Amino acid sequence: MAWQPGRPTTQPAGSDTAAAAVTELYEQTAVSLIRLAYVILSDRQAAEDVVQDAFCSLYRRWDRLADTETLAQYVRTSVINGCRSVLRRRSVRNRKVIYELPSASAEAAVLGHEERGDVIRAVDRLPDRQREALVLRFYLDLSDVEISRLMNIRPATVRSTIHRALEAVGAMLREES
Amino acid sequence: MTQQLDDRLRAAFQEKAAQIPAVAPPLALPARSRRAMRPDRTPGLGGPLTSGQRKLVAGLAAAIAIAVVAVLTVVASAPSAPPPPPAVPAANPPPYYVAVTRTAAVVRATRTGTVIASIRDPHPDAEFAGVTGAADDRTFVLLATGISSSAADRFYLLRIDPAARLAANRTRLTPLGVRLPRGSTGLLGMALSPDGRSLAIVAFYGPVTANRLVIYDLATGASRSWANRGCQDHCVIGQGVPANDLNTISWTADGRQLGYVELTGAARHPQFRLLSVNAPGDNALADSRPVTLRAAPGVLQGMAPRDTFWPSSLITPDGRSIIVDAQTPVGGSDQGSAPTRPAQLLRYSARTGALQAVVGIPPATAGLGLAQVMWSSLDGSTILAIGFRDGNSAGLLHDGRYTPIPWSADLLTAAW
Repeated sequence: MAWQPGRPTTQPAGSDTAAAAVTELYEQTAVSLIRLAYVILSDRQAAEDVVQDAFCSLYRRWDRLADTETLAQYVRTSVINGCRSVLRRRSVRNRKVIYELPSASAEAAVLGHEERGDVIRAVDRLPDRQREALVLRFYLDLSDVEISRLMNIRPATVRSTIHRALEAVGAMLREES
Repeated sequence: MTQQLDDRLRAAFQEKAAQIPAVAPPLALPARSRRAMRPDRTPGLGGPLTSGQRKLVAGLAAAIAIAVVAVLTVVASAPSAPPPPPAVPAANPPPYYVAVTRTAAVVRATRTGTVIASIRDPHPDAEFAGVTGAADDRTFVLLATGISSSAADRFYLLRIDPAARLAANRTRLTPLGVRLPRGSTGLLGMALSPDGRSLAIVAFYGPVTANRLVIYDLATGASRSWANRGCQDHCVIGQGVPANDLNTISWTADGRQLGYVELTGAARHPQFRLLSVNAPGDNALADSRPVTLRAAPGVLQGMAPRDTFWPSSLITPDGRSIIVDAQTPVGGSDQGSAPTRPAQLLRYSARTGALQAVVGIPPATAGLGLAQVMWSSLDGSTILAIGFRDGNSAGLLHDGRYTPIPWSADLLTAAW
């Protein structure tokens, strides 16, 4: 469900226990989750939509979720799965690298911005699986075991995927320089 | 160098994330059914049953009642009673499969889920990451991926003998002499030929170099490879695959054709192609033919199959049909962020591209889940699919009906 500015909510928050709890969790975690989705997708609107979808899914399935301790983890997994789904759809459409350099306010900072932009563009050219593994490792600082659970692959596969992704990014950066 | 790159990645990701403002848009929750709005949710075994648990209990009670009636009926009229309807579709999958779990590879019985044998990782420096099987249900190839940076991916031949009395005799693992092609940085797919003599893979060479289809002769280690040569319009062999499955290519039962997907054109539409493996060349474009799947009214909400995304596809063993797991954005939107409809497993004619049947929708794939087609009967009338959502599940689809098979959430991938 795409969020549109000004659109009235179909279910006012706080009308039931689930809505209140989900809304509270959203307020606590939404920004960090949107940032995570944005790092993976390079598309702010898509990132916001994925996070909205994850919380809507949580709300719909509230009665079936037994362990409230792991709700944040559940939503994060939903966000990552949602990103994966968007990437798959994008892979059969016109995959664009949407990332643009942020505007630099000081000349001294421009070189750093450009350098980091090169890194991001190299990451955007990786296969989905490698890009996802890099984000989970170097943005969320997750362990091999945590990444393996999220990606449904084994820990050694996580390590080899990250190793290959680093090799590919390094090669692309050397090529560009 | 590696540490420097690690730091550069962290800095780049942090800077990119910081572009998102610290205030999130408002949350717009959907309406919930009255039944779902019970405020006194009490989790745990001692609490009231959830709706899912109630359904399970009701389902079990119904199943027990039906079973009792069926047994009484059979006992009462044993000599002349017709045979009871089969519990699973007539075209059953092979009785055994090999699965990769988080800690090992296991041989399991399809019908019961019983673990027949467990195979430990072949080397401290490698662990199993993928599996593919031949048509005899006894021959498999396992992929072991290297853990350290110096350890290469290796393939292992696995022979199983489920009837062996001693557990130690039920499996025999042998390293294969074939390696990933030089310069390749990973696999996008692998499939053992029905006779178990050839292994086909899709080799990935990085974002710049074209992917290749490679077929190894397992007896000699010799290989042939195909790349797209002279492609004018972005044709990429092997599409973005689910994180845990390598069954993106498939053989016909006669071993003459290999089905694969490539992405074509600026819009990167998926296209199914059939490679004639006996053709003499090395150009995948010349040695294969495209199968253009045609849109059918009312299916995929008016979108052409090429406008959907395909988590999974295969050629049926008889070579006559193509099974596609198609997912479509709601309303046919072209926006990458639009939610999708549940996967639909569709069967198309391999000759004409016309839709033959909607095989079904695995229930576990509703919403953002997906289905991976793992096995097909000869003509594609029965499909075995794995669903990924809220814990994995697997089942048979036949005539629009879904029959789950015993499965475990720790099974990452499997081959029949």
